[in-house]
Amino acid sequence: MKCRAIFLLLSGIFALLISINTACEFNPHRQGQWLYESHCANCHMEDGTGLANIIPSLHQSPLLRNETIHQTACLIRYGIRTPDPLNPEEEIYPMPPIPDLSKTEISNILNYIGNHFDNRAGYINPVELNSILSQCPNATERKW
Amino acid sequence: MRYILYLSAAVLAVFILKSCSSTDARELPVLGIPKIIDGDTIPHRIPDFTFMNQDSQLVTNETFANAVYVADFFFTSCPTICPKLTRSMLRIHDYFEGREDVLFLSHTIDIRRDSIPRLKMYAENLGVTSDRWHFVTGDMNDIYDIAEDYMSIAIEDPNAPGGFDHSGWLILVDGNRHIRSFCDGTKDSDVDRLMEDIKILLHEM
Repeated sequence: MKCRAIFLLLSGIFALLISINTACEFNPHRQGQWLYESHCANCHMEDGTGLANIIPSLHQSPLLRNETIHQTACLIRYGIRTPDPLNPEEEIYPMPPIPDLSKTEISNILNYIGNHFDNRAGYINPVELNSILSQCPNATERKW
Repeated sequence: MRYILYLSAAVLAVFILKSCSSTDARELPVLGIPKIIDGDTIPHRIPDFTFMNQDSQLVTNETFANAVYVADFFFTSCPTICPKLTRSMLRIHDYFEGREDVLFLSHTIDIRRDSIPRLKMYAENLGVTSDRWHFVTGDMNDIYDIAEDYMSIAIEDPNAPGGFDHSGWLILVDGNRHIRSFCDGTKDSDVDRLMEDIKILLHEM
C-alpha cells in the first residue's frame, strides 16, 4: 500500500516535469514565432523561404543582420512600396503595413526571424526600437 | 497461445490484402452538383471559356482537351493566401515536370491591374518558362462566373486585404471537363494528396 502511494507520487512528479519541459521547449522566441506565423508566413512561408523572385527569402537576409535589423522594424510597421516597372502608378508584390503591431510585438518578431533562418542578429531590445520607430523614413499612412 | 498467433497472422494478412486492393482500385469521383434533364442525370462540367494567357494566346477548353489540369484563382499583388497557393501550384508543376498531359490554369481576379505583361512578368519571376502553366485574364464577369463552376469564390471586396476575396482551393479537372478532386492549396499535406490523385487520374486516361 505504501509502495503504491510512493509510485503514484513519483509518476505524478515525472508527468509534471515532462509537461513543464514541453511547455518551455527550449524556444526562446515562442511569441515571435506565433506572431510571425500569423502575420508574415502567408507570404514569407513558415520556413522563411518566400516565393521564387516574387517574395524574398528571409534566409541569411542582409536586412536581418545585427547592424541592420533595427531599421527592419520600420518595414514591418509601414510595409514596403514596390512600384510596378510596367506601370509605376501601381505597385507589384508590395509588402503590406501592419500598423496594429506594438513595439514589443515587432521586437518579438525580429528576435524570432533575426535568430532563425540562418540569421544571427542577436538580441533586439524593444527599448532600442523607440527612437527608430518614431522616425521611420517610410512612415506614411497607407490605405490597404 | 498458438491460436492467438494464427489469428493475428490471419488478421494481418486481411489488412495487407485490403490495403493493396484499395490503392489499386481507387477511383476518383465526379464532383459537383449534377443536372437532371429529361430524367437523365448530367454530371457537372466546366462550361465553355475563352481567356488570354501571359503570352497573349487564347486559352479555351480545347487547350486542356487531352490532359488533366489544376485550376486556381489568384492575383499578383495578393498579400493573403495566394503566395501559398502559387507555391503549391509550383510544387505540383515541378513534380510533374515534362509531362505535357498535366497542365495548370491560374485565373487572375484582378483584371484591372493584372495586364498580360504583368502576368508574363509574374510567370518569369516565378521561374515558369514552360507552356504548361497558363496565367489568364479575361472578362471580369466570365472569371467570376467560372469560379463558381470550379466550386470556388472570387469577389471584389474593398474591405478585404488587397481588395479581393477568394477561396484557396486547387481544383483537379479531367479531359472531359469533370472536376475529380480538389485540395486546400495552403496545406502541404492536402497538396500531397492531390498529387496522388493526379497520378490516379493519369492512370485512368
